[in-house]
Amino acid sequence: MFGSILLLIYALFLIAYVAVMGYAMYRVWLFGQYRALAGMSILVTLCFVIAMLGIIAFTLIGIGRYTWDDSAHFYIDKLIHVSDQNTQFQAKTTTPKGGVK
Amino acid sequence: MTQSVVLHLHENEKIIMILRRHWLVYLPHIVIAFILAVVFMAIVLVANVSMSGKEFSDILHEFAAYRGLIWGVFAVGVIAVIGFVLFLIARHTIQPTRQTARHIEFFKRNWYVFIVIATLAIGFTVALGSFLLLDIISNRAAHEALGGNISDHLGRGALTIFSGMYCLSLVAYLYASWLDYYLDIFVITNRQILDIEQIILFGRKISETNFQQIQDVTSKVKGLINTLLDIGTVFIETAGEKENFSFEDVQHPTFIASTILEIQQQQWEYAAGGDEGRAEMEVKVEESSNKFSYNPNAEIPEQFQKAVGVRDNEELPIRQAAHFRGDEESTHQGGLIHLGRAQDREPQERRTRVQGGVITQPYYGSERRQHREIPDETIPEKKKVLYTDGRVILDHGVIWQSNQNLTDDIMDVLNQMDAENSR
Repeated sequence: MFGSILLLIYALFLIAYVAVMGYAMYRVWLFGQYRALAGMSILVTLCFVIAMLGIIAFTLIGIGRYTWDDSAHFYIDKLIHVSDQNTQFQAKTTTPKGGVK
Repeated sequence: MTQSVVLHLHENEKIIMILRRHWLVYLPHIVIAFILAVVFMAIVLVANVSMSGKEFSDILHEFAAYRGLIWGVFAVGVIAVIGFVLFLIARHTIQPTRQTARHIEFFKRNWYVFIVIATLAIGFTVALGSFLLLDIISNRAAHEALGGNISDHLGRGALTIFSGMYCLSLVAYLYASWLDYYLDIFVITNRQILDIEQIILFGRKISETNFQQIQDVTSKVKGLINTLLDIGTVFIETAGEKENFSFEDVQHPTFIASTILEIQQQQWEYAAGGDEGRAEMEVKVEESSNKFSYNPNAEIPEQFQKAVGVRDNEELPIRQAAHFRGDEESTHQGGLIHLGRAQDREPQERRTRVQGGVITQPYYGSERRQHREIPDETIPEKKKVLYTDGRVILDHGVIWQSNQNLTDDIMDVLNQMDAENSR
């Protein structure tokens, strides 16, 4: 469950981030149309875009390396499986050899 | 989608200077980002060590084994301290500036900003710590009961997500502060002065004034570094209810102030009929920087000469009526021009009398005196509109002051109004 919440938070953050920064950069691009005033604004904005995309790509690659299946179903399956194994092990060890007469 | 208008130049309007703040203004933001990055790196280092699947005591032993790491953290701390000292120096030496004033407020007055930042930092730490704790506790349980590494993945994944969000926020902060610094532009044209102020990401404030409304221009340089680098503030006081201007953190403020006064003087002299003074200055425009050259002996280009002057010389009876005899007054057809004798750049009063009142404006005259006799027959009788570079004064005192081009239709309407009022 924690993993799902985390991924959801990151997805929402990413959407809001891209929307806000994208609009800000669009306004800078409009400003850059005034050649006399533009200066290095477009160039520096491109550098920031590359840095942002790099961080996002790095994070997404990092996220993909880990197991995020922490759902209740996954936990329950694991627990049932382990408890079955333990029960079988206990049954084997507590039952006398040759069976109960 | 509509495009916001930032700069609209008139037909004959030319940009003379484009000024930006000195790059030192951006230095405090870089230092802040550096400190935040160093703190973050330290947290990530500790988190990585702690997520190695060991218990706290083992982690401490393991941490002690990492002598190189300890020295690295120590070095990072030293660098952080040096950066903070640099920031303090920058904050105290770049004055007076709006940018640094914000920082002073940020650190001294706006304590609630500190609370917000502290809350975020504590929240970030608690969240990360919770995941680490969850990782350590459940790691043991997982290894004992589940035989898996769910929480291990969860902890490291959470660290990756938080790292990504933190780094993106840091880049956003740097970008917003860079926009706030770089898109604050001061534009001086031959007709007006514009102050384009970028407010963080989306806000923008544009103020403008023309040279006729400038009353006083002063420059101020304060502080050791500012004096060494010749960085300062140019204050422009304007007439009426218009907002005063200040060019902050610009290089060569004294030269900029004197150039503004030169341009204003040229405009007055040209509008009033002077010929000698306006052929003195050549300003070469270089885009996107405050580098420009100034040659007082060069002849002014014809294009610039036209741009500085008024649009239509044929319709300028005020020029033709001008007689400059020091402090003498000259009158013609209800219009009276008085030009004070210029002495050592002290602003003199310039009074233009029209029916219904006297317009008083400052005049920064030169020591040159001009004399021109204009025969009366050259002055058209029907033209009762007095026009001085964007300002139209009718005989009965109506003033037209607008950035709109003065077309023949507007002139006809104004003359018609004048005629109706004269009856």
